[in-house]
Amino acid sequence: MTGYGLVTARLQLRWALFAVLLMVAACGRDPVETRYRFTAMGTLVEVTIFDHPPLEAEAAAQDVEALFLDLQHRWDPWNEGPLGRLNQALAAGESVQLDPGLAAIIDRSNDIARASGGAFDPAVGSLVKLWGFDDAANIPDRPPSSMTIRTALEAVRPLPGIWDPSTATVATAPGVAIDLGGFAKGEAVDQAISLLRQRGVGNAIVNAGGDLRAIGRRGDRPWRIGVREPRLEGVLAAIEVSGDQSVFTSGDYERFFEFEGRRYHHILDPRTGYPSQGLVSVTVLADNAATADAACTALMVSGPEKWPGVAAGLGLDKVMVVEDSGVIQVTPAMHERVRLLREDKPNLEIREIP
Amino acid sequence: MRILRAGDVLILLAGTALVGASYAAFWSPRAAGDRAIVSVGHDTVAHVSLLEDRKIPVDGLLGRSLLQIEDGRIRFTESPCPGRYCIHTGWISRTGQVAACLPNGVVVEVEGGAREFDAINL
Amino acid sequence: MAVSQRESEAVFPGDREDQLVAGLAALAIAIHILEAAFPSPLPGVKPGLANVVTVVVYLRYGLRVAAWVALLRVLVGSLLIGTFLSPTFLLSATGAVAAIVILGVIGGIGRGAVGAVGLSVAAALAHMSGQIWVAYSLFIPHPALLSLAPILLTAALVFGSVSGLIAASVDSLLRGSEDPAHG
Repeated sequence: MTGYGLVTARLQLRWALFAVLLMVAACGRDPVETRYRFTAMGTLVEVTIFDHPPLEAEAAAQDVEALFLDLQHRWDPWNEGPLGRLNQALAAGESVQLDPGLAAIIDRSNDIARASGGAFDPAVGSLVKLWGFDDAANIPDRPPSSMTIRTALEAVRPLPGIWDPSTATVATAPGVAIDLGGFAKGEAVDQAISLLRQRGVGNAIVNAGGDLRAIGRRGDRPWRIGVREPRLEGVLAAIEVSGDQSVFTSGDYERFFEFEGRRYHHILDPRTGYPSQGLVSVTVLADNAATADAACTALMVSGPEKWPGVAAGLGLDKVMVVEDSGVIQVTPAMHERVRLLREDKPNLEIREIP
Repeated sequence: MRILRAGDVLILLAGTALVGASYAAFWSPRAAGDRAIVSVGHDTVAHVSLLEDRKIPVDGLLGRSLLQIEDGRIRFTESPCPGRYCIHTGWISRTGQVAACLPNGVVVEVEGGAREFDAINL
Repeated sequence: MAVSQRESEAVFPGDREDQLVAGLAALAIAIHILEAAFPSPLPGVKPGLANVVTVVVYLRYGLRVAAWVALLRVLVGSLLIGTFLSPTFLLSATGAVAAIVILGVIGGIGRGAVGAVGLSVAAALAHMSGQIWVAYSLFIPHPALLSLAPILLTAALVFGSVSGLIAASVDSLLRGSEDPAHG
């Protein structure tokens, strides 16, 4: 009976082996992907790490969380941290010299403020506070009076006018407060990616509420990013990224309130003191996350006609914007990268970067 | 006696249809998720099926949020947060999509289908 | 007289018939054991070539005898291979039962319109579906197994057609040999 015994043993061994292989193949067809989510900077941040030992990946993601929370504290405009103290000093009429850490980020945001012609400017902190979008406990449901807006606007000085890079000094400017809101997430994402790289992670996404930077790939395919429809349900466009790229999207649907039939959203035009008009969403594809973050704000503010010029100033060539009419405008380079998912043919316009 | 009769042909066709249906059923990935994970803070509080229309209350840090499931989609309809950003997010239905009420600590994520996107903006 | 004798022979095969049935059962068992040596994407799940015998027996001797032969095949086959009461046995048994049930249903409804090929294909698909169902419910409740279903069912369709053709040939051969006048 040895012949039959052998058949039995082989059968059962193959059975067991196959069952295991099936499980592994099915579950582990994708090498392990670690996802870690936390709240920071007023949004949901998700760290996705691919093909890295799970325990180390989880530890690295937790360090990213700690990093975000630390930066959130350091760059809060109204607490007792470095930026908060700067703003207090400014309010008291003093000029302030900054320590290197804060100086570096102020300097970077200053470069963008200049390059964008003032469409992005962090020195509008008082306006932001007036509208109240940043404060979770003090949510607006009606716009501030036009009088208060005008007063605040008059006190605003563009950052390039008061920042002196050579001495790392902010000149005296009562009524001015610096708010890094349109920039901080990007900076944090950049620093988080550096942290992950130091840990030997080669394939990851750090996604702060939809503003993300992705490195590497997801195994045998690129990372697949979805940009949601600004007004409707579902996904507007799909973008594939690999290597090292940032995809940032800003929209008027993220934080807003409606009052007497009008929508007031959180992206303020530094020149008018009111929320920007004309565009409902902007998506930027760039290398550096901080630039992409600030660019989104700058382009939203610049509006449907003028945004290509501002994009040129910021050195960007991959931009997609959606007008409030539903028309989509893309740069040629972005047109190649983006796959539009609207079922009916969308109203698409190609805009060259000057 | 013919080898192949009318009934045989019928069975062959029906069999082929059955096999074809099995390809359609088991081989096409579904992007629409059929479940949602609801979590409060770090704890998962529920896995809900999106196949049945209903309303689900969730108790968070500030109070009670209300979720609505309809036609395979889910959304926030009420929430104690001042900003209502969670409600503004609207309906979500694709695997990986997220709606969150951060002040209340409530996060809803759709899962179950084939994941079409690795990241979607909120 | 000839009719009733034929009838009784159909339900209770006489000596010669007994030997024939026994011979067919032995053949079925042999095929069953041979199939066990076949590689398969899912161990224990077999294309069911032994169903050729089941279908031939069904066509000649009706459902009851076919059921006996099928169950004998599964039981004796598994005892000989050594897989009695193992998962493989359960799979074979389910497949055989499913095939028999389908034969009864389709043979009953479609008598005359359905020949060996149709019966074989139906039996093979039922056999495979039964096996997949048991494998999924009891042994590997994993969606990955279901994703194998289309391939296995395709194989069953193909093998069922082939065994159907074989069964049809065997059946007409046997009819030819026993009664050349009425062939």
